Amino acid sequence: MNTLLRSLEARIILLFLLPAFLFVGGLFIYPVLKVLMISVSDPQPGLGNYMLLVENPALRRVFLTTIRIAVLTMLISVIIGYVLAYRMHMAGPVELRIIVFCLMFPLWTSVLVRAFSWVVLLQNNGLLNAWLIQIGLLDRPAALIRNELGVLIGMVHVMVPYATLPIYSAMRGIDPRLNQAARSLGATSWPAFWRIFFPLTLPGIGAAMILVFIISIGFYITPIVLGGGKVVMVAEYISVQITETLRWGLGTMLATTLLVVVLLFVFAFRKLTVLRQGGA
Amino acid sequence: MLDILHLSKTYGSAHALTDVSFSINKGSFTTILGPSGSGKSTLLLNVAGFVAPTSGDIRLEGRSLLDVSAEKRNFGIVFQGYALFPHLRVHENVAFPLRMRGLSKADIEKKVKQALELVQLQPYAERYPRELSGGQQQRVALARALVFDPSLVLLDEPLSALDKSLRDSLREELRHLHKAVGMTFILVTHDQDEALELSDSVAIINNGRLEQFADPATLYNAPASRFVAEFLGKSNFIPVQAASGAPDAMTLQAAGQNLRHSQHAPLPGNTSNNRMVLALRPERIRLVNGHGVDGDANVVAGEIVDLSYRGADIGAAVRTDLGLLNVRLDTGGLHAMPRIGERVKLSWSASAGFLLPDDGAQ
Repeated sequence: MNTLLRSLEARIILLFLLPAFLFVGGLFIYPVLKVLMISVSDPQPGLGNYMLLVENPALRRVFLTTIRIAVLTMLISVIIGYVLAYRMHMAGPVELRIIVFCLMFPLWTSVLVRAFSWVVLLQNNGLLNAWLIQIGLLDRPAALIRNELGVLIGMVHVMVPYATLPIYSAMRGIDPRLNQAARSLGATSWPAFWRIFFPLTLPGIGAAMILVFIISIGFYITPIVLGGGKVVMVAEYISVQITETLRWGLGTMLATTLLVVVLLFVFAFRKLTVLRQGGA
Repeated sequence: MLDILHLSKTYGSAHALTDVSFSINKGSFTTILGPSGSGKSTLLLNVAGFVAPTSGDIRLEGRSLLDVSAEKRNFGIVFQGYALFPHLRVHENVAFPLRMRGLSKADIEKKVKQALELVQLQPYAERYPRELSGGQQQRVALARALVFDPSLVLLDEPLSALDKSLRDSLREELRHLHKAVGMTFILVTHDQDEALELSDSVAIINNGRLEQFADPATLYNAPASRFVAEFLGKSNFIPVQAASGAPDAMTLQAAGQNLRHSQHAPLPGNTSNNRMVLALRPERIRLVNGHGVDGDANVVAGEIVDLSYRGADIGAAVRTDLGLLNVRLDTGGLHAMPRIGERVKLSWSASAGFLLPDDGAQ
């Protein structure tokens, strides 16, 4: 093929890729850059908005609360997800189908509906408190919502499927003969699990942690409903700045910072899981 | 000594193994040979302790193994595909069974070093399994199965994933290794050459039943069934209508001809009723030109219809009244190259063939 034809072909390939470039560039990269621009130019040019993160204790608290809740949600979801995934891994076909159905069904329900359902269950005169008082475990209702506990319960409920599926997929990828091999070499069930099975699920755990953390850090509806205004996470705070107080510089600064935190987290975690796998 | 006694295993209504019995001598190299789906892997899983038999017993030195769990049997297993632990380095893989047995760090180090030396892998001790070639991985699996002085070594198709030249050299290595360590080896394979070359004795399994358990020479020269004769090497099968006379001087009727036959091994039961075949190895048939035929030899005329040149020998397909016979001709003993279409005479001695029941195996 001569060079003329080859360059023509290259141009045609570029032409076919153009819609994808336009889509990602116009609808994702441009707005993100715009957000970045606003964060350093409104109300006046400079890093003033970012200084607020250091100077303003209220802002700092919102940020730390967000990260704390996201980390706790991640840890609890991944632990529950691991147990569930292990059960799925060991289950027969019928049990597996039942677990998958129970896991996926909530995903088809609106987050708003699920948050309000938790309010019904957890509020002071809700089902759980009423029952706990009735059996005499409590003498007055425990505060299960309008605090971080309530937000955590609601968020973990949403995140468990996202934690379970990557871990389950990692478990399915493990050669079942490794377990037989471990047993033939004298390992009883606990060492076989702890030294062979568990280390091989670490990439799945890593993927689940990244996924849950990234989604958790941007939670909006669940903290509003179950936090009852007392637990403010960054997403809600940003929304207030953009739509109500119209401090766009502050809002975009928080959005940018959130993005940076997520990128740092992903980077650190990838490095960690790759190291654990012995430099794959 | 490992005794397999009337072992049967059924999965629902499917019979994976039916009444299999044989004994393996301590220190011997025994092969369980069979086509895929024959039940040979089920037999291995039973011996390894991953599957419990439906009935029958497995005894090691007279003690039943059925109530001993897989991790307590102390058998070294080389799995198909090796099943190396991908997240552990070579030396950690080999150390695993020793750590499970709670050996001291110094002992583990010493034994791992010895085992890696045995399979010539010391330079690769720090590598991960995926950084090794197939042959090297196979040797790691061997070292891991041998390092804890198991009472039995089970090898499940250890060479099937490798290419032919590597397979041949590893086969050689496996034989030396068996001599060097003196342990009892049980190899499961579908490769006849592997079985004949490596083993002291071979158990041939087909359809979940033991067809024959014998040393390779007996299997080859005195197969107990048409399946064995067909599975192990090549054979011609001549349908036999009737047989008469004493075993060492029989007359067989095949396609209207009388054939001389003598046989020392037991004849198939009830020879008058059952359909029988005469199994004849291609290398036992000679090309003759009138003279030089022994008195008790059979001579059949035919026409060469196909030739395949293989260097040391030539495969010739000869159409005769008895059917198409495959003949192996040594190139060294030929006066002239045979040609397709040539009329020839074939000869074999009365004791060359083997009378077998016709179980219709293909």
